[in-house]
Amino acid sequence: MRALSEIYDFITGGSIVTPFGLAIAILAAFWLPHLRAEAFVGIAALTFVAASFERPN
Amino acid sequence: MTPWVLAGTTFLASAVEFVEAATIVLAVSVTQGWRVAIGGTLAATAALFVLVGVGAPILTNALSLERLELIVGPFLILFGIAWLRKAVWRFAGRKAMHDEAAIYAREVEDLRKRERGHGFAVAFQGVFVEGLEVAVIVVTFAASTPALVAWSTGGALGALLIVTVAAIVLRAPFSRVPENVLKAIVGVMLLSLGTFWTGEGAHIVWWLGEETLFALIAGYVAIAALLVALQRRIYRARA
Repeated sequence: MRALSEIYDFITGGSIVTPFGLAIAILAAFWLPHLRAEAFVGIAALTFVAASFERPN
Repeated sequence: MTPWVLAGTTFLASAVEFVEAATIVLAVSVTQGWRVAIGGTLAATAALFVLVGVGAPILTNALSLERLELIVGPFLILFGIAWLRKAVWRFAGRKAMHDEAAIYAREVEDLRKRERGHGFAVAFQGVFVEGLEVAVIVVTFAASTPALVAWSTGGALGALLIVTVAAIVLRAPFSRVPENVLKAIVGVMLLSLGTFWTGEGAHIVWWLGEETLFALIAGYVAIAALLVALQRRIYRARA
């Protein structure tokens, strides 16, 4: 369990919101044909903003 | 994709990580001797070379470029956000600035209490853990842009060479290297390249073609700067 947690922290930097935001951004890139670039970049940027407001670790 | 962007990013990312690894290796050498420190460092470096040497060809041969971009890009976004948000926290005063001299003093104090054989494990772990992220970045860059593999690996090897020579000559932690600024730059580059490649993997047609990368860099720099100003105000008011 601890090893899994360390792998998660290594990949995500300990962020809870980043993996979810990224998944939504990729889904938007595939499923919003007219707004693909805008939706993808917008959600990726919002994910970064949200992640920056998490508690520092 | 401009080769200098790839080489510059791997150079900076590697330089920052190797500077951190050098602090640990120097602490081991001062407390437990050069042989132990060099032994641990060489073993970890060899393991990282194997990882890059095996990982990059496997990824390149197993998947098409578009699929690779869709796997590699998200990893770079995750790494980029992790690096850049830490930089935002530091410049906004929410997290202490990275201080190699303080880390060095702490490592030396800790190692003096330990048995002699412990130094090998500390040097190995320090170099391997700090180098692992570099290895992943180099493997992803090499896999996504196979034609520019010499540039992406060259950047990392150049940093390794410079930091190693500087560590041997100076024999002191690199407290004057502006690590906090370098980490912010690396965070922006990883996040921008990750966004660009993931988008390409998802068949997005970028507005400005390859030049979109520079627009992404400018955008993320602006957002990070705004976040620093905003968080400084919010968290100072709360303190």
